[in-house]
Amino acid sequence: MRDGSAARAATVSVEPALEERRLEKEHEALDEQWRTPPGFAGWLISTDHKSIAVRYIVTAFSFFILGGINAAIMRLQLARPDAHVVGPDLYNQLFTVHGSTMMFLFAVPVMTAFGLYFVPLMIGTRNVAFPRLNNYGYYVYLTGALLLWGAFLLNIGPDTGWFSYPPLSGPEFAPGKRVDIWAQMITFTEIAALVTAIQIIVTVFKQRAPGMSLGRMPLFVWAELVVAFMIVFAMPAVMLDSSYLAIDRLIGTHFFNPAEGGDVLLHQHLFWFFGHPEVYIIFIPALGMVSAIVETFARRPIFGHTAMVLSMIATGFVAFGLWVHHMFATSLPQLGEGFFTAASTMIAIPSGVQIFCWIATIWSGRPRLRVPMLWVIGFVILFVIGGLTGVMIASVPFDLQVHDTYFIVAHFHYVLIGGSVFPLFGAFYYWYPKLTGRMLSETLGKWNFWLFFIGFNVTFFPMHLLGLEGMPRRVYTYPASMGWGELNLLASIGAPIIVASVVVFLVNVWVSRRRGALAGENPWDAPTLEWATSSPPASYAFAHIPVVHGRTPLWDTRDELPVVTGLRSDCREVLVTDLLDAEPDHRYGQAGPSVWPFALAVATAVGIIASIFTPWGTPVGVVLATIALTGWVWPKGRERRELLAGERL
Amino acid sequence: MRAWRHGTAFPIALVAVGQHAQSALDPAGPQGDRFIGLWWLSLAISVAVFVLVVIALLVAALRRRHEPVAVEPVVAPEPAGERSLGRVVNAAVAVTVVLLFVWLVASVRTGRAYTSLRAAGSARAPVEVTITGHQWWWEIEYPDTNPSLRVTTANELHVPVGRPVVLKMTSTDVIHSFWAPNLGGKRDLIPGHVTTMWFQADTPGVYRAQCAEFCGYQHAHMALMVVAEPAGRFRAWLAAQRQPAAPPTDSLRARGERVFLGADCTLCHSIAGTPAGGRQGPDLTHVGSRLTLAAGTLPNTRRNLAGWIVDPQSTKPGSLMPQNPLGSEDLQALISYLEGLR
Amino acid sequence: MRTRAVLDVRDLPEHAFGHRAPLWWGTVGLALIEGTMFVLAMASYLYLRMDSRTWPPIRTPNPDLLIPTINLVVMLASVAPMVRADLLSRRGGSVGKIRLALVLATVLGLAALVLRWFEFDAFHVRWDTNAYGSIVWAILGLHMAEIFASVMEDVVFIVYTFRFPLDEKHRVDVSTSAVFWYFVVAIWIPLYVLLYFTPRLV
Ligand code: HEA
Ligand code: HEA
Ligand code: HEC
Ligand code: CUA
Ligand SMILES: [Cu+2]
Repeated sequence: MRDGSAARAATVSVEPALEERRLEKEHEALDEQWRTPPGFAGWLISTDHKSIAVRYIVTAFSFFILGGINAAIMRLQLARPDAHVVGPDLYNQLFTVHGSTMMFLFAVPVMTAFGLYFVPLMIGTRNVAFPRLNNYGYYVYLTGALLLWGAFLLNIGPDTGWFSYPPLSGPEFAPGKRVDIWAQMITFTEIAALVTAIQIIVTVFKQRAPGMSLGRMPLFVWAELVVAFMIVFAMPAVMLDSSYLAIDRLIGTHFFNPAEGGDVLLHQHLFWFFGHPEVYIIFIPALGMVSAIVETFARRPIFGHTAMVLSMIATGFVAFGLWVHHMFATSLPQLGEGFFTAASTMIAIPSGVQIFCWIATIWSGRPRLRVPMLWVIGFVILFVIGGLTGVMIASVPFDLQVHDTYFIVAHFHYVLIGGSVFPLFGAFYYWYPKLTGRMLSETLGKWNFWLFFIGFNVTFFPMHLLGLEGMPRRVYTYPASMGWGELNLLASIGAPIIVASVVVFLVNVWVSRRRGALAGENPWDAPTLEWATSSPPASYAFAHIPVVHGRTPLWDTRDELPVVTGLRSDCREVLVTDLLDAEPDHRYGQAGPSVWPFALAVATAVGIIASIFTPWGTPVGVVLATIALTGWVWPKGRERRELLAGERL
Repeated sequence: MRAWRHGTAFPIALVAVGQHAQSALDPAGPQGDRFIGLWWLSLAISVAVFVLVVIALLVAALRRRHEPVAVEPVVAPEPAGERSLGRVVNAAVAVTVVLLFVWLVASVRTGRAYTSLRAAGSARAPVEVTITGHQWWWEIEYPDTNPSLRVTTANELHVPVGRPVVLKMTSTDVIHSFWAPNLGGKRDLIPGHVTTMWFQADTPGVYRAQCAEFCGYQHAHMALMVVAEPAGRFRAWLAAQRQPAAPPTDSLRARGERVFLGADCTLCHSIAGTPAGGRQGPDLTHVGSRLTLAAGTLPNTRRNLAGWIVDPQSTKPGSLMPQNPLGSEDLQALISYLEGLR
Repeated sequence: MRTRAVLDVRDLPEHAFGHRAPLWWGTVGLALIEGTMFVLAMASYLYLRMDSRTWPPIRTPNPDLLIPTINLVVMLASVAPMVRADLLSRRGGSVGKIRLALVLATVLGLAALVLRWFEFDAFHVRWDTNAYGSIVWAILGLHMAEIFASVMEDVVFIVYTFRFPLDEKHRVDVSTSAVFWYFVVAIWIPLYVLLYFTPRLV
């Protein structure tokens, strides 16, 4: 293609290595362009994917702690039969808020946030494709989170479970605003997720460093890409669904009202069409993290790279054909049952492939058992358990026994925590040096790991037995005569151990922030491009965009990094390359910091929150949003000056 | 697996009639049995897979821990080694596929077995029962072409041993789910839909069933007793249930009846043979004959009955039955009357 | 880490149209999201239909065809000026011509909005009458929002062209905004068939 050839021509003219002073100047010039204005104002208008991603991560983790505190209270209540720590009303709010927080406010945002931070660095670009949209996404997410928790603290938190089945969540049986708050929290978090998804897709498609063909993309980037596409196809379902629910409650539509031709199962189909992919949206980024860690610490490229990529894509596809396995008890035609069982078990194959490939990689490598690697080992052990119970409940006759029991609770905590939170912690230990410039303490790290590993199993393994012994989920208490006391007590003993572990983690982060050993650019001698930047990375990340010749760039050329020159340093310019082989295509200057994304977020918030109370919320929101968007695109400051100047010439 | 049956301290009232632990691992019918088969198969597969994977992982991670860590990463591992690794991985994947296929077949065959058992069952004139879910109790009807032979009761399902039972279920408020672990899987009760399930109890006894779908405040206290008894006893029970309430003989119970009809109980409860015809609450025509009160929440004793009537909210917060402040004489009379409704 | 310059991109252009531009992919992504939503809305429509013996439900007549069909034509017509604006901005056509095309498209878009307002009546059912009413109002409303959004975008462009010169960057913007317009019109075709004809075919 035209410019591709132009670029190739350029490759011939190889310059000598650039000497120090010019470098200095260049860096200053770049920082001048890319730096975020200091102070709160800067925070408000920032367009730096790194600072926004860090915000996401910190916020999401705070909600992990809050959701965990919900859980701790639930465990306290369930520790003994007929307990009165909390009543049914509060308990129902607790597990609803716990589930919703962990899924919508913690797991999904934190997983995509790591993508927002590391995808641009790993593919060697200076920012995401739509920096302002990125800022908008964060504020929308934050509003949704505060909405849910504000309501919960005012004791009007949602109380119908994280999938709020009507009619229980409908106008007749859930008066008040609790469910509306749940529904609108969904709207907020899904908007944020969709924004991030588009962000990641376009950045990966168009801004990869020259030479990084799809085949050379790191597995973590692949994982985030697959997930971004899953978000695009899954989230609309739940937004539509929660809107149906909201207007059923607000203006008396009848989507879920059997009396007027509605159908309560429509909600279940729509919700799980989103809900099943959702769990893999949480899980697949974790796979990417594991691959990144294993590659670095096994000291060799991942065995079966292509197989890994195909497995993740396959998982992503099949995930959309499984939703009915959450609805087996609603009774389906036997053929349907067979199909969804088959599909659900099939998904074990790609998972298996990846597990086997990681083991093969470690086997043939020179594994260094640093803390991130511990978390990976813990992940494999726990995820296999959770996966296997998953395959069990994929069978209809089996599921009809354990559906809606603690067996399921056990299954999904093994896959969610073992399968996603463990890799997340691993990733945190792995990338913390890049985020902060300092290493986390290995000793505290080991304590963190072992406490979590032990506490987790003590908490959740007994739940398998409880489920088989007939204990349903979402019960605020149980009679002593049922004989579930001992195992529940055991489970409750585990929770504080996990708390201890998390506290150790917080201490580690806090202490290392100041006193941790300095990391340097690439403390683990890792192969991917994020490690070619300083730690923490400069505002512009790469003074010169790297040129890639293989899957493990920093291992392929040990001494010096081949780079691109000729990008303007007097504006926020990024290099756009073509989709398949990342041939340089054109350059373009990105928008800088602006207050309008925040304004649009406010408009969104006003519109959506108002529509909890009145149908007029939506039109009001639309008008405000239109104003904000116009302000957003309207040329101002430098752009305006240049435009008008350009006109006069 | 019996070892997993904890707390043998069931209320005496229930032990007397042979209460079983509510557990999927203590089957008492063809479906329960089938499930156990499935359970052991899946457990075997899982343990095997788990052990193999974990051993492989740990060996891989630890076998080289004494060798000095290579300084330079291996960028291009030598092909020979890669090929042999590839063979091992492929083998593992193949095994996975095979095991999954075995599991799939087992699962589908079990599903088929259920249906065929059901077909065979329906040949042997199954007992038909209609169940309607309410927040938070079960309305149970034994339909009959002859209206006068229909039976309406609550929270207690009597079935003959060794005969298939077909449940036709729906709900008038929110979604509930019928689950008797010892007898077989669960089915949702969905407003606007009629779902059916069937089971068969082979050993006599009382099996506790519980609502499995979250249905609001008292989802935790929405149980149901399945009483499986020999055909003779079952027929006798059904006949008894068909009778209207026997009019009170002694003065105390007569007073009790007056209290009942006088208070607003009648808004929600019906007692066949009296003017009381409310439908919001369980039918009380034979409440005295039941094992439990308030959907398996309390053993049906005099004290519990009194406590329940005066203040249901303390046992079952949020229950749709209001408190009923009654003078103690009135209350005693009322209790005696209700107890007498056998 | 030391660096070695191996590739000079100085002579690459600063803008590109179509699938070469990140913005184009952003717009396509948005269309994918909205598209998925409409497909699921159609699915809900058919799912609710399965529950009802007659469709539209008893005491609800079939939807009228006149105004909806006129509106369909209007929307299809609005694509022409949009295509023109798209091509003109790619080919560096004059601002005047581009503006004219945008104005035409906007006028037709506004017409579509007005007609859509009456289209609600064509169903002789309120959103709160029954589930049928709910789903058709939902679909009409959602799509109306899409039209509104694209029209507003055009209006902003038109005002812009009066105030500022149309540089490369904004030409790219115009031509990508056309992509979304195409989507909004295209998605209405299956929706139109679903809403107005499927009830008539048994
Ligand atoms: C990270 C999230 C995550 C992941 C990865 C999974 C993975 C799987 N899940 Fe899970 N699931 C949830 C999160 C997740 N799940 C949640 C949150 C719920 C409950 C929602 C709610 O009700 O609140 C749920 C519920 C749920 C149900 C519904 C249960 C019910 O409500 O009655 C089912 C049923 O089929 C199911 C199946 C599976 C299967 C087959 C997998 C498979 O992907 C697992 C595949 C992996 C392996 C099998 C292990 C590795 C493979 C090998 C080592 C190869 C060898 C293996 C064999 C030979 C078997 N899940
Ligand atoms: C990623 C998702 C995720 C995570 C991480 C967790 C984590 C935990 N979950 Fe949760 N859980 C869900 C997702 C998750 N859960 C979902 C989706 C449901 C279904 C909800 C529904 O039914 O609608 C559920 C339901 C659920 C139930 C069933 C409730 C019921 O059905 O009645 C239980 C019961 O034990 C439980 C327990 C726990 C526990 C003990 C943890 C622990 O691992 C928590 C550990 C973390 C902490 C304990 C916080 C640690 C930090 C501190 C407390 C330190 C404080 C100190 C300072 C701030 C300095 N969860
Ligand atoms: C407003 C309606 C209402 C009124 C009035 C009412 N009840 Fe109830 N009653 C219920 C409901 C609903 C239940 C089921 C509660 C549950 O199990 O959650 C119930 C349950 C019962 C039960 C237990 C039945 C069983 O089989 O578990 C008894 C006994 C009973 N009521 C007696 C009475 C008496 C006596 C009075 C009057 C003094 C009365 N009720 C007044 C609604 C009412
Ligand atoms: Cu009824 Cu839970
Ligand atoms: Cu699932």
